[in-house]
Amino acid sequence: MSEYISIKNLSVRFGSVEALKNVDLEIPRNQITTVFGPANSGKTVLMRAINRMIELSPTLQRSGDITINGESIFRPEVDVAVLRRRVSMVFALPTPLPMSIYENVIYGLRLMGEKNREKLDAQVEYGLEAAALWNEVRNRLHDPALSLSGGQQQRLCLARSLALDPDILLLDAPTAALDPISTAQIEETMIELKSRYTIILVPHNFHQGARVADRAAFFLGGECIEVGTVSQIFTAPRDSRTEDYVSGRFG
Amino acid sequence: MSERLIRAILLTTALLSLISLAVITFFIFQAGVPLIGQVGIAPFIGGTVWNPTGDPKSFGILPMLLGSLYLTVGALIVGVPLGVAVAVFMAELAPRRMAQIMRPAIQLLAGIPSVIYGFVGLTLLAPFVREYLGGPGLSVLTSAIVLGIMIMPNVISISEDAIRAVPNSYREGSLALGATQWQTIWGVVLPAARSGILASVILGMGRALGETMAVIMMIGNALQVPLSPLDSATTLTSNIGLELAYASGQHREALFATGVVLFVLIMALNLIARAVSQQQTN
Amino acid sequence: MSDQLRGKIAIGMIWAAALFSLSVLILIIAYILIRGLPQVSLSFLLESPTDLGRSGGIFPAILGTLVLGLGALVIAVPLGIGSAIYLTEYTYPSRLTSIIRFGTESLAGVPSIIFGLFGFIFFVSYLKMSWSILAGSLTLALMILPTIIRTAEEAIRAVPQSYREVSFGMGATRWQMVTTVVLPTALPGILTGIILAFGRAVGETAAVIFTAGTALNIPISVFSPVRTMAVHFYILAVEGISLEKAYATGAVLIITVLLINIGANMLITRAVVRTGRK
Repeated sequence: MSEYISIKNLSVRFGSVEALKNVDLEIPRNQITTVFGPANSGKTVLMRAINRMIELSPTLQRSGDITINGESIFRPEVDVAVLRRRVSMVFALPTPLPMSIYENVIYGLRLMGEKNREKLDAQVEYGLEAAALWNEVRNRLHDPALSLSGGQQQRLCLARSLALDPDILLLDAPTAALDPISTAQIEETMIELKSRYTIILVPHNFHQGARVADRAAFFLGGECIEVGTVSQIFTAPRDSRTEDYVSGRFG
Repeated sequence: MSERLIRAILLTTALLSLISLAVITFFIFQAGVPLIGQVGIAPFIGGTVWNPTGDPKSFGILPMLLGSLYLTVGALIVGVPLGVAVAVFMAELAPRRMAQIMRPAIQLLAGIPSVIYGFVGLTLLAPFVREYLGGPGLSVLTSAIVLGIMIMPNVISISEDAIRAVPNSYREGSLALGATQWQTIWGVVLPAARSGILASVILGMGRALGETMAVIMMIGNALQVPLSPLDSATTLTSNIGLELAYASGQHREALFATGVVLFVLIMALNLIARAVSQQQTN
Repeated sequence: MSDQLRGKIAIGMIWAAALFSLSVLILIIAYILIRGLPQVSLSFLLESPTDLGRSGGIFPAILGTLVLGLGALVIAVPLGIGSAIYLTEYTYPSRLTSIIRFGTESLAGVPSIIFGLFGFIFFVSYLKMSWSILAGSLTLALMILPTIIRTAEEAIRAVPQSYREVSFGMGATRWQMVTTVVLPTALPGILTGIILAFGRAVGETAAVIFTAGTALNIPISVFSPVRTMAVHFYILAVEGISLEKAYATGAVLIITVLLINIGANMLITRAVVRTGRK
């Protein structure tokens, strides 16, 4: 197993709130790792640490390190913009920007200054195709993104990330606001995508994690309690707190 | 452009209003304070004779100060009850359609130029007052009525915000105890919104005190202490507005000195309004 | 039962106050338009006045109003929007921001005659601009700056936080985030503020008369003095030059203000539609 993302003794505080406590976690390449646990267990903060979105908060205090391919993401020469395009995030609620479908997908490329029409067109098709949305919207790329249904909007957000050719996808409860059919579509897409991307998923509920992920990490109160393969975590957890949670005796 | 440069430019634009305020204060004071020094504060503020070009010269602004005071109080008597009533109407009573008409109407009332108000006072209300109540028509009363209507939109908008900010649970609690709608408004909603309403009154006061052109058109501009609401008068602002165009030397300095007095009064009102409305947020 | 009756009377009085304020508005507009509009013609709008305004049109005053108002916007809009962006996107509430806010609020409370005095002593005399478009526009710009800052700030704050998150998540710098997401979304609100500020500039008299002057000529440069419609209206009425022409000028002024308010309201409706669709 090749460790791709390495989280080493990471602690994160916002003012007096301790969000992550001494987290150690290894995430392998081209697998889906699900990070699950009850509300406020630090899952989202962990995701936002990996693309340094936590730094948008003025009261942040951080210690410990995160490396990708052995290199710290916190080195001073790292360009945050480049990092965030390499480690792209999809949020819990569908968040299309108030512009056309096409403009949404190329938003990240536009920020990079890409002007070549052919390149943009190609990436739009690639992103929408990979997010399994291409066939539904190919004839109305210039309609407002807000005219799409909720499930389509979320796949558009996925396409927007994929159009950047990232290495890592951070999916923060991407189906939280969706109906079961849309959820199933997105889950299928995730499994197809893992051959090309390393995916970290905060699941909508832990059953989703069990359905799609290869590895699982259980978080509680800002601590990483247990990591293992999905089958081990969900069938034979070593820690009693994990067991309580996956068997529904908790929270 | 680097983010740091952009940040610096934006900070500069943000500081500009503060800097403007400082420069405005500095230049008004620099132009006006020396004369107050020569005349003395007490004779300047308490003096009843304004004769800036005569021999001997005399710089007493008491008549204007009293004119401003009476006019402002008068405008509040007209504008505050009306404004608060309309604010209650907008926040608590108005049916949807009515509110949809009222909102742009009040906005328009605030947007009508003050010279138009002054003109209506001059050509419509003043003859009416002269005819039916007596006096010259161009008077404190005429000006106070029009000015009261002018400050009404300010009173409405801030009071309405304050009333809307009162939590719904207050109303429900009162209605659940069997209070009528009016008892709820009078006994619960208005007291809960009182500091916002008070702030609106103080800001309306500032607007009335500072209004110039409309007042020049309506108040008769008589350099006298008004003894009745039907008398003509002059105010701090109207005197500046009338005389600045041709004043020079000490006369001009005296107008700036009047401006200093006005400025200090307005700033004091702004500070009070700020303190009062912060009370509500706390 | 007397409680019920008292309540009914009180609520009736509140309705009366609301209807009264509505009738005052209608009365003012109708009064000026009925007396003024019959004398407004195309030549009144397009000709220069003669004999101090007793006859002829008001073309220089219309031109002066537009030039002065637009000049004020050119100065105040970038400053106001920059200021609003700084306060909302580039800083967190601190001592500095509360001092800046105090400055803006105080500036908003300064009466226009004080702006007139200041513009006169600072721009006209001290900076030797004399009575000119430049001095008038600068003075007006200071006066409308707080309005633009406040409305732009409100519009920017109404932009959903998630848009900012997405933009940062796609690797935007702060400035890219502001220009690609925040400003386009807040645009209708910002424009509404700009239009209302323009309306305020159009109606202003005290701050303009001592800084831009009262000249009735067509301006040839930013150093030319101008007379605005509001100032022309004031002079016609107060100096008793021509009451008829005053009514006519007043009618044009009122229609201008009406159009400005209608425009602003259309934008507000659009802004609501835009945010409502989310």
